[in-house]
Amino acid sequence: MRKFLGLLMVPLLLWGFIASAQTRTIKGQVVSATDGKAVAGATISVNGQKVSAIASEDGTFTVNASGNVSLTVKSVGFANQTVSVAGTQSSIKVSLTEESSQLNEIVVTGYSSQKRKEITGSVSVVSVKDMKAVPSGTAEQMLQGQASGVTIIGSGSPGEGSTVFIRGITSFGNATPLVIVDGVQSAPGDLGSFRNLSANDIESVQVLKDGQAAIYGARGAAGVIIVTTKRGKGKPTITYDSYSGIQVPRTGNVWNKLDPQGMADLAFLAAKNSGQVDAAGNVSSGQYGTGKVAVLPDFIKAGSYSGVGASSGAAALAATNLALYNNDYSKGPIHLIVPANKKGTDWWDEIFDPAPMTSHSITASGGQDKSSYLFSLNYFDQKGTLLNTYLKRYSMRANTSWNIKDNIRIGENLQLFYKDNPRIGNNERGNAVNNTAWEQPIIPVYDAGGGFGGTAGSNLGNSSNPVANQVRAKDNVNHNWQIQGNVFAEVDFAKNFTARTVFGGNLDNYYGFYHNYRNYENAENPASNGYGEYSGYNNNWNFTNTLSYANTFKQDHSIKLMAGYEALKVQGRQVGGSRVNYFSDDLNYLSLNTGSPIGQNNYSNLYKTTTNSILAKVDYAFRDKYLVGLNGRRDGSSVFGPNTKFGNFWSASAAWVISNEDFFKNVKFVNTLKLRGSYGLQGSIANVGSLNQYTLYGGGGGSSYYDFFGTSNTTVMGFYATNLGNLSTGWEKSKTLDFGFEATVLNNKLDISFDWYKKTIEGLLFQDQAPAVVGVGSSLPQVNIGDMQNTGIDLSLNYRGKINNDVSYTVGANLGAYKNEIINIPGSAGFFETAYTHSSGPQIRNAIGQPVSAFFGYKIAGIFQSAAEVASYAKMVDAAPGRFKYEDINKDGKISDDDRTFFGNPNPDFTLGINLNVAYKRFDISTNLYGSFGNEILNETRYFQDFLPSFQNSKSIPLLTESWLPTRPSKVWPIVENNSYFSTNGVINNFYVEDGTYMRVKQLSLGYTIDPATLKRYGIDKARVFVQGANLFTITNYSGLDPEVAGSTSSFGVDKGNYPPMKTFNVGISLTF
Amino acid sequence: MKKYNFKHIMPVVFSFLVILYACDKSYLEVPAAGALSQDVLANKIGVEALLVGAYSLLDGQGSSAGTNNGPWATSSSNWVYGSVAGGDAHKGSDPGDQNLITPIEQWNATASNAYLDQLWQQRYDGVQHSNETLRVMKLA
Repeated sequence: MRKFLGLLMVPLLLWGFIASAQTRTIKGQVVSATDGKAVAGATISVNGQKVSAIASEDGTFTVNASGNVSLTVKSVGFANQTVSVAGTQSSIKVSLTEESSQLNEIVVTGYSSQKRKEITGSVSVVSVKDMKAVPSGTAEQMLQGQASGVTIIGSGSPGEGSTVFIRGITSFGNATPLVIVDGVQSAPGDLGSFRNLSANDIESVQVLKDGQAAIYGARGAAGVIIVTTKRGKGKPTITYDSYSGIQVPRTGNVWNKLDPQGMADLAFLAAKNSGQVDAAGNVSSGQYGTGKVAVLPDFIKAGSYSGVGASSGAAALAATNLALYNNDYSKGPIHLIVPANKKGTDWWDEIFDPAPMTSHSITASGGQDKSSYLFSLNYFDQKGTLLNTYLKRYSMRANTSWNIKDNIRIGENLQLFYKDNPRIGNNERGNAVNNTAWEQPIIPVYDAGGGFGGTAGSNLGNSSNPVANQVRAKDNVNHNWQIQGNVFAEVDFAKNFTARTVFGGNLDNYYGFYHNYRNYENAENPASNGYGEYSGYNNNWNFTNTLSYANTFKQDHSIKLMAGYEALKVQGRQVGGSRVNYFSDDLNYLSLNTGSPIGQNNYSNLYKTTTNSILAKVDYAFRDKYLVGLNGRRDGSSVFGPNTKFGNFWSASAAWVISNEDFFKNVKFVNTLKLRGSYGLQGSIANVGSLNQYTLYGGGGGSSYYDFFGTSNTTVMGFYATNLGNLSTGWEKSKTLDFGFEATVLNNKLDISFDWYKKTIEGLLFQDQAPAVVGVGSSLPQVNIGDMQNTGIDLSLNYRGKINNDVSYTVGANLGAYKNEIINIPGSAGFFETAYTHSSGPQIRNAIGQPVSAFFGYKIAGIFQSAAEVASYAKMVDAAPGRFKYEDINKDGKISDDDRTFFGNPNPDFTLGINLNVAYKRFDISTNLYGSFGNEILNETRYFQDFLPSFQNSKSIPLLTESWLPTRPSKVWPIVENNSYFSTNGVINNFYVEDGTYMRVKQLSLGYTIDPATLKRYGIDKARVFVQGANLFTITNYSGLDPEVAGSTSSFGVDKGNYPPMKTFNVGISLTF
Repeated sequence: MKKYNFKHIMPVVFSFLVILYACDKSYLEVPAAGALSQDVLANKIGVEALLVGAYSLLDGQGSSAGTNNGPWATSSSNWVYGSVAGGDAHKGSDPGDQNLITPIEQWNATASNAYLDQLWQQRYDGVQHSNETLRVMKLA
């Protein structure tokens, strides 16, 4: 090698000699056109003469050249520039324009990385800076609105996962995209490895949306999110980032409920409307006495007396003697004395209080030629505004890499964390949020004896005291230790080959226990206390080996090939037990030994699935203008039977970089333009259980054991077919056709990325819908049951501008619009129903020709205002003045089952995320907005709040003040009665459907970067302080707590009691040493 | 350009081969855990256990069929379709609680009343359990 160079020097020197006759020294400086700063390290070469130089730290360079020459100046991140230097000129200043950062970004796509301009598929590159600005304990919440086509629905519960789907709903079951963190795949349908990343460790996030995801084969149908964590680079630095703040819940009758007097008046109104009065016109009521007007009692319960009756008569008054109070089962019969809270308890305010949140990260990183390292520690603590819920996470990360010799690189990425995250079940009936809407206001939080007040007493319903529930849950424990990471090695050999091997995985260990107290305060109390413990682990690992080849032939043809092999395993085990009837509730006493052996319960389960695959990728580029990509993969999985075990997935994509064409060179306002299209076939296995192919038998106490011998205290073990297997179940196949373009216009100031797509999903995996005669109690297998189609567009815009030298700004928008349609559901019915309510049947029907999760039932055409109207309308059960009249859809003169129709669609017309950053001197302002438009929400909480007979819970104000009366004819609110009728709340109708469109200011922050000169004294390189408000305000017409309502894919958009995102105020600091 | 190749190629190629070879078909066969298969039950004791499982649905409870509205729709005492519809008993509780019973009480139930669907699901499940017992008995 050396000898070769030596030989080369001779002609160079000779030539230099010849030219030296007119050689002069050209001195120059290279600066950036944007801010005038020096561009160090730029290469300057003299065209036609093999002379070159490198710009030094301050951008200056010196070249020797003769005559008129032209210099080509290149630097990474800038557009190449050619300047001519006349023979008489000996100094020049070169100003380089920043090349569109969009096209030069390195993007990790399916096992390899490419420059953005070489990509032929549809990839969204997320701005991590904008993403991190949102303060949240889960990374997927930060992703909301940052990538077009990615819809994320979350909640305010700390640590709660969000529903994520890409380009519309792609399945009836789990449509969660695959997440890859540093080459380690997540378990199917699980975002855990992404959710628990510390925000400061994230380097980049890319989303593969179209056929490109086929390289992930059986797991790519729902899209792929690829996350890379930071690597050390440059000189050793320590950064410290921290923010602290407070979350502030809404206050003041958020549910718009009546106070106790209002509730009493409402009860009397309903009785009168229903004709439940005696001859004298008196109403008799459990709590409010007998008479024409409701009277609030002093005690809602005292011993065995309730309501007004508890303070009339000597016996009743004697029961209110505090000396008789007892709420301890072990000391004798329960005798409660519960005074009425006449002012009204605001249950929401009682359990939702302002709560602090804080995050501290410290990162030490550095890297040079031979190695790089990054160590970080993160402490995140977010107390929930809901009493006794929180997320506490301690995590540590170590990413290192080494270059051994010139061509071998090895390294590892590792994250260890410990997480403690007690939460409520979000959007579930009967959770803490529901109970704040249900528990009547007359019930006090604490009773006269210092215990909890509750629904024991007449006519108070059977909800539970949410304060009591949360206080009693405070000792419950759920600990989580996790390790996630990988080790990798890469070898370059034979000039153009690279071999890479990665082994990585997640290991999640959890342990917890829970203690159930024996309540005394509710209408329905458990028979004993109880305690349970559980523990288990989840583990998944993947082992990937790839061999790639990259070369350029004849300057014009550039080829990249990649082939690889991968194995994946997902497994876990869990064990747990519980006992009841503990002698004492003391936490130190509770263990599984000390409970009663009668009624003991234990369980364990395990699961395992394996996958292995071979994959290949070809990328070809001709003169950087015409790009073609092909990829393919063959997967085998253990969840499918021998007939369908293997599947083949592939995609083809092509792109034309029009801006590199000669005819385009003169177009001034378009700097770069790339057209692309792709088609691919991907798969999904997320919705099939590992036992799907087997016909299995099993049993359990409640389900198949039977007291065969009539002993009344023992059972005989019995079995039944728990699982009917199906050997023909195969992959969900998703075919995606995508056309789009990417362009930078207006002098590299505006980036545009646009896609149109059509995604057809065939063979959706969902539980078989068999007629009942088959015996649907056995678990029917998942089969390929239906077809679905999503058509839509994604649009991303990003504009960088400057007003003058002091003010610069960037505006970005991400818009995703999709239309979803169910194409086929086999079976004669052509539909299946979900979202069953407690009392009235299903609310959602997934049917052919409709979008997924559409609401179905009767459509209200108004309220009957008079008996004459009732008589002249179509025949309807329970029709009467003041009640709903339903639309006669089929115009047959009667209202029957056939008049049910689709009346709402929870899929949004489009979602929009906007990022705005403005910098003025040392100040910076940034804001993220997010909105969802055109989606509808079925507010199931209104079934309980807006109808008196549905449940004995607290009711909303319009029921008393606006409900229909002959003297007060309303067109919206029906008459208040004591019975549920077909014409009121007896069946599902669209009274509960509301427009869920909203726009939210997700965060707004103001920051100040301190003058580096002042910091030098303290050894600090860079410091920035900021104040921030998150979830500042939401514009919406939705009457519920919050329009962001999650749910499973085939039944989402139903609000059963959603923990809303909370307003948060933070201050923070970021230091670099 | 010439010398370093073999030292580095060989281990890589070797490990590739090892992996490809080590991965055989049985990696993708994962047996069911925590469950019994038909052949295990095809004997006298197994068939008797299946018979007990069939009997266990006599009380109308325990099957996962027909449980969307809770246990009331499928109870074997038939209190909804017998006593309530017959005038013996009232549904009880709040008017809005399990209000699908109200149309049954009023003799107004339509085909879309989920209670009827769930009742039949549970009964047929009992039939399925019995038939399964006969099927396995044949194999025993």
